[in-house]
Amino acid sequence: MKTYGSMRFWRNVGYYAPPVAALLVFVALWEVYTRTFEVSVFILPSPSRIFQAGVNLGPALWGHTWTTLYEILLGFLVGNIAAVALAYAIVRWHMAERLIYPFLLASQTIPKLAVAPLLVIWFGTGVMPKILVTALLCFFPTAVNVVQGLRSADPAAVDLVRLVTPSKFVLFQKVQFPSAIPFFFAGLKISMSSAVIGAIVAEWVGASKGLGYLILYAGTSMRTDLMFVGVGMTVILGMLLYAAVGVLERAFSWRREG
Amino acid sequence: MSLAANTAAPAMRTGDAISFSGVSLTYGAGTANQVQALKDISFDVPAGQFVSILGPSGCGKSTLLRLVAGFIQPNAGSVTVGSVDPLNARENGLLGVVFQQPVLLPWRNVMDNVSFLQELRHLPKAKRQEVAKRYIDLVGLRGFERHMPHQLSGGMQQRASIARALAFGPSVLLMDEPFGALDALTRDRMAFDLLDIWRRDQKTVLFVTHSVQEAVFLSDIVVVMTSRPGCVRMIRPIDLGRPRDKDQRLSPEFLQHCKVLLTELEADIGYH
Ligand SMILES: Nc1ncnc2c1ncn2[C@@H]1O[C@H](COP(=O)(O)OP(=O)(O)O)[C@@H](O)[C@H]1O
Ligand SMILES: [Mg+2]
Repeated sequence: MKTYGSMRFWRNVGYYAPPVAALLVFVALWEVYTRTFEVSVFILPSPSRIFQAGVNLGPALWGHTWTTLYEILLGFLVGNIAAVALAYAIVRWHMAERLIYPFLLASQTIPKLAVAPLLVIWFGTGVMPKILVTALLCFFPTAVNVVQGLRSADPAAVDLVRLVTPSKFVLFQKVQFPSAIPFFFAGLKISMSSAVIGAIVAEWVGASKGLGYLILYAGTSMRTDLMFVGVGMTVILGMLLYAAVGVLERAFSWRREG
Repeated sequence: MSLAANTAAPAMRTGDAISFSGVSLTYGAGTANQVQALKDISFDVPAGQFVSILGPSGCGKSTLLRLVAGFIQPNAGSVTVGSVDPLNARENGLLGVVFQQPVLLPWRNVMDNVSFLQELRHLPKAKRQEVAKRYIDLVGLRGFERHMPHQLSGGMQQRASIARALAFGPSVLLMDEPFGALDALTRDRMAFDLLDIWRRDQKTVLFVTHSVQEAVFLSDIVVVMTSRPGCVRMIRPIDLGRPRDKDQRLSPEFLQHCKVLLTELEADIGYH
């Protein structure tokens, strides 16, 4: 047991060591470069400088992070619930497909940054417009993937169910929905990346907190180091959320290969 | 075996007869690319008998089975199963189907696949698993209950799909080239096992194949079909006696049946 555990530990180390090492080398080169050439802090602050700026922000940084996380998660939830409902309607009713598809495509071509101010006019500067922009950005990948997934059900399996029951709901529950699960998670991963972008973009218009606000504020007040703090925190947040979807996928999805 | 003695067994109703009278079917009727798949098909599958349909690709064999299963409706004529309409037969759970491919649900293990149809019928879990277990044993998959489909060979997957059809307890089994995707050896073995199972359960079987030997070996009656449009060309009783054994396949009577059927088939394709 012990040997097996330690074997697995070393295998994990072997797996994660190269990317971590690459990242560390990158940061080190960055640090060396800015120091050697005495690059202006307005143009490219060194990693240590950025880290210091983050520490100086203290609890405020966590406040911004928490606000953005909250917007991402709520927008993600709203967007994906809408996506699954729409996908179901599209597959279930022929008419729904013809009614919904134009809107679906239009929602993708809407310049989100441009409609954000409109949403501020409609819903104020609270959390609501941020959630809506986030939802708008992240629902499309899920909707498209789930439609494809629901349609991926084996026609013979559909016949099999029809042999026993005419119920469309049973067909959905027992064949179409499970068939769509791997597609759903594939969509969810893209959707999560879009949700992060959505929340940041939404905060650029009429926000007083959040990482997007921090980035915008830092930009207008020439605080490049703070800007990097905001961007860095967003990247870390995005990677963690993406990994979280991966964990959910491993727990709930099925795959053909064992 | 003690199959019939077990109280949890599905209703062991012996096979119902299938009857085709004047059945025609046209796909895409009224459109530019309509295809007449079946024309004026009439024949009976007597209750409890094993009947094979033999014919070249595209002659409408699958279409015939789909009509019996009620997936499509004839443009003319009628199909009855045990003297009722296919849709009623379906509702009464009389129909079991085995497809050319196993059609197992890849997210369910063997046990959950075999008991799937009974689950759709809301049979209590313990009961449906008990029935499923019996048929898993019957098709020789004991010990593989928790395996996922992708962990099984093609032959084992097809066995599981046959077990699923049987566990549903239908009186009529429709099999559309069920051994088509298997290698010759496995195919032989499965044909033999299928006869064993059929003998125990006394179902009516309508079996589609394009192997002459397979049709003769398995059947009480072989129906030869021709294509474009699909018609019945010959109905030949196979009076070889039961049970059948492997050696019979070299007997003069067996070979004579094969020869006659093959001649009919080739006449259609125009090989002579
Ligand atoms: N869904 C369909 N739509 C249109 N034509 C079809 C359809 N299914 C089968 N056909 C046509 O009907 C004929 C019979 O097909 P099928 O019953 O599958 O033959 P078989 O099973 O004997 O190979 C073929 O010419 C085929 O192209
Ligand atoms: Mg066919």
